[in-house]
Amino acid sequence: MPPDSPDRRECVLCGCCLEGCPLLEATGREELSPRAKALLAGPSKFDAARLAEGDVAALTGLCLACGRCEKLCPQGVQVPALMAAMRAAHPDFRQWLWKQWITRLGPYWSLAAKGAALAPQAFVDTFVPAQFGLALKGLKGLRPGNGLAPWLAIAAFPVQAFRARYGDRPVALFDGCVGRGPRAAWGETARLLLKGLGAHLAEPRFSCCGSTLGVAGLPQEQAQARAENIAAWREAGRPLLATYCATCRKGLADYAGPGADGGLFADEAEAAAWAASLVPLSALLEGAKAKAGRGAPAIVGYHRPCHAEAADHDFRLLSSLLGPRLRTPAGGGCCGFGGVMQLSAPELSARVGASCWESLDTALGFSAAPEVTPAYVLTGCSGCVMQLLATAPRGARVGHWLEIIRQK
Amino acid sequence: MTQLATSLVSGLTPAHLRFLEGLFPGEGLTVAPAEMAVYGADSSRRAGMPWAVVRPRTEEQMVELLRWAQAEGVPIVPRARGTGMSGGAVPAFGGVVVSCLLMDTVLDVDSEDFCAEVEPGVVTAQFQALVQKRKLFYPPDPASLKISTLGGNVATCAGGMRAVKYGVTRDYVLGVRAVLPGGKIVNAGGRTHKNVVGLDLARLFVGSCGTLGIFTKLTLKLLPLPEGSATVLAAFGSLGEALEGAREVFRAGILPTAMEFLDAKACWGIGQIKDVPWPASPDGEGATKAVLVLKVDGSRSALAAELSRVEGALAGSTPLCLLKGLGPAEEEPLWELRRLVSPAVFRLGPDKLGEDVAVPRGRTVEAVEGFQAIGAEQGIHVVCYGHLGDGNIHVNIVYDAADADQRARAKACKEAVFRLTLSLGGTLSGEHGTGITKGPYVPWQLGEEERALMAGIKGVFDPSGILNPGKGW
Ligand SMILES: Cc1cc2nc3c(=O)[nH]c(=O)nc-3n(C[C@H](O)[C@H](O)[C@H](O)COP(=O)(O)OP(=O)(O)OC[C@H]3O[C@@H](n4cnc5c(N)ncnc54)[C@H](O)[C@@H]3O)c2cc1C
Ligand code: SF4
Ligand code: SF4
Repeated sequence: MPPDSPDRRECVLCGCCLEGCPLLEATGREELSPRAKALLAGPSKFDAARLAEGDVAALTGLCLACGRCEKLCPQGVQVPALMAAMRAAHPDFRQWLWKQWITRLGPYWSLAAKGAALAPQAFVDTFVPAQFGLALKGLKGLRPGNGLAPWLAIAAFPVQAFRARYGDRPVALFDGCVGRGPRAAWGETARLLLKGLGAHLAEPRFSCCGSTLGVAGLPQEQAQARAENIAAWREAGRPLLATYCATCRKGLADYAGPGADGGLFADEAEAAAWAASLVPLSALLEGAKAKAGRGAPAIVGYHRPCHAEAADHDFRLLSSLLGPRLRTPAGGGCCGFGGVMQLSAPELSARVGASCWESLDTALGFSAAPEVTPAYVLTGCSGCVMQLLATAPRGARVGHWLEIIRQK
Repeated sequence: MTQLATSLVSGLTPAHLRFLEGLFPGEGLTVAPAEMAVYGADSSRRAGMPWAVVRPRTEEQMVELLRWAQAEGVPIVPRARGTGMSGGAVPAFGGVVVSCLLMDTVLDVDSEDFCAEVEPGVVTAQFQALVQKRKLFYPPDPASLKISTLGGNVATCAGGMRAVKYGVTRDYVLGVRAVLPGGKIVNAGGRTHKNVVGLDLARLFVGSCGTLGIFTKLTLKLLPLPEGSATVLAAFGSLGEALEGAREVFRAGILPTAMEFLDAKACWGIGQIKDVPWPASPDGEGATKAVLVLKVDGSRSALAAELSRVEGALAGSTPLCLLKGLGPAEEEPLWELRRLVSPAVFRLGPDKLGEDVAVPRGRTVEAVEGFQAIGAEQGIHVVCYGHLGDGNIHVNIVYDAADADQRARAKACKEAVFRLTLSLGGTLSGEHGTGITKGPYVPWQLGEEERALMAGIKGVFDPSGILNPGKGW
């Protein structure tokens, strides 16, 4: 094993990761901290007989996979990856729930969202396992036609800059499960924006990015999704890969990231080409000009997804398009989506969601006069949209930033 | 080290557990080993399994807990965020761990009295940010400020980089409200900045490592926020040049807010984690052998001039590179490098003994050169860095604990470092406290009379020896 491989990186209990963990922040419970997880997942300092394996798996499963801890860890310990490995090693751990969720509902999210919306509450109460409650609420909020009304017209595209940078290189849009399913409108708007840039669109048939599958402890399914996506990209002539969901982007970047399966790509050069082809849609649009039309809210909040890249191009684009109208809490704050945790510990997920809304409130001040300035929050990640919808205070409006853009 | 009281129980009975369940309903009590494991460890990398973990929200719960614990002889270990470096929060002899993280309210910030009242679980950096909004300043800044708490800082008398100008946590504690074993509440000190009535009990609590009482409220002193600050980072080709540069700064009449140094091995380790601005090759000509990081603060108009004076003072030592930062946005990346050193040391080996000795300021050069020589002699990595301005030197002895020979040599190194420190008139710990990692060495430094006096004081506060047994002195 190379000395620097992720498996070799051992937690030294320094606690540097404590700063960012939204679970610790929301609960004050150290056992939910990344350090607790790294301690339990790593070579144990404790008499193994005293730690029942199932308990360890259940506890370490309580992780939002937000990745904040790994960004802070000087040792390079990757807690979300450790947790995924533990889930994979404990097949009976609640991930069956998630597997069912993704494999049964995933391809039909559009339908599922409709179904969730239509199902009478009594039916949901009787037949839907309690754990599905929060996830269903998010899904309900996603149903087609429930998005934000558009109010922003793009007045000028940075066509020159785009051409200068990328020439004729074709662009493929990676839609992800939500943009392909219940919120197909995101994909439509994104395509219009790319056309506005003068980009040549390639349309490979992509699968799920695989990140939720990996986190849920389903490495085989994840590997399959990854292989399918790489094959589709290769077949389309290795186009630029534009994303509009932060988690999808991170999921795709992880194919060539530390600890990834080296066998996915033909060689290192191809892995590097993959990494270099990934670009957030918002980065391509940098320099665009826009005009706010009727229906534009006075204050627009921005929720920074944990998986956003360091430069956070979504925020940069939105602040240049919206000016002082756009506000965001200084410290950010995780929404608490956390994939599998929606099912394994929805109450914790909801608690993190509540503190996220509190910090949004300090920046937006909606709770002072909800009838005058109701909460209006944009973000750039499907998971965040779902979770913010599920945890939103009454009257709040939440959506992907693509939803505010007029399609003509 | 203190003798463990013989009256302590060796485990919890079902009746004990029933009591705890009653006092700490719901999430207030944890007894599952997997959940408790992390509460048994801290950044000293020592670990012991708690018998139970409780999370009080109120002072009343704390009073009841300590009344019961004394009556039953149950050891109690106060804990905040477990970032301590000497095992202070580790239940080395079992017991009930008391997590103070749910007592995390800032009760009052008063810009007229220049003081604040806080519960112990408030995270230090969050508190600093809060008072800063009111143009107030809480100077103590341990490198762990974003991850440790005010309660933990007071219990360890945490020092930080600003100590050279502003002093350490002790200098900012005006009052301590604590619950003692048996359930008595004491109020030591108060809101006044001066107070000479009676013995200084508040100071006695500072640095007491959770052995005298559990804090429920702290009254902290605040200063007006300086208008701005500036930072200089300079790399040198030899340790001697760096230390001479530092001396020149003081000779020029400049009192920096912070003055930190990193030796060659520390610089190398940081370079393994992050891109560094200094010439990074570990050996050879032009390589960095030491780095100084200095901060000055004051009025914005004076800072640019102050920076040039610092630069001038360092010029005689011919720095290999010199970076300047004016204002937090430019300064932060420079300080971030310094903060990374503690974890960076693990790039040299899997285990470390982290000592934080302090020597009289004039003996710093002798001390650092002596420590490095001890490492070379034993064939073990000895990394030195720290608070040059106040003589507090972090000495990290890096080794592989799986190798018995290295273990023995590391221990020999540590003892040689202690002996040299004491011979220079220094102290075994400037910041981290003695906890369990240094407890056995305390008699090297403190005489029998002094230790007897301390044991007597401990006996007055905690007659049955239930509070954090086996820690301290
Ligand atoms: C990366 C890193 C850098 C560090 N840098 C520095 C530094 O620059 N300077 C420095 O001085 N230290 C430093 N430390 C050590 C550590 O951060 C400090 O000792 C800190 O004060 C511990 O705070 P904590 O909240 O984690 O307390 P803990 O570690 O949980 O507890 C520390 C001690 O306080 C006691 N205690 C906790 N709460 C209470 C209470 N309510 N009442 C009574 N006793 C209580 C505990 O019993 C224990 O003995 C560093 C640590 C790390 C990991
Ligand atoms: S996971 Fe990393 S940051 Fe967290 S305690 Fe372990 S080594 Fe430190
Ligand atoms: S991934 Fe997020 S939720 Fe999970 S331990 Fe790390 S910081 Fe906490």
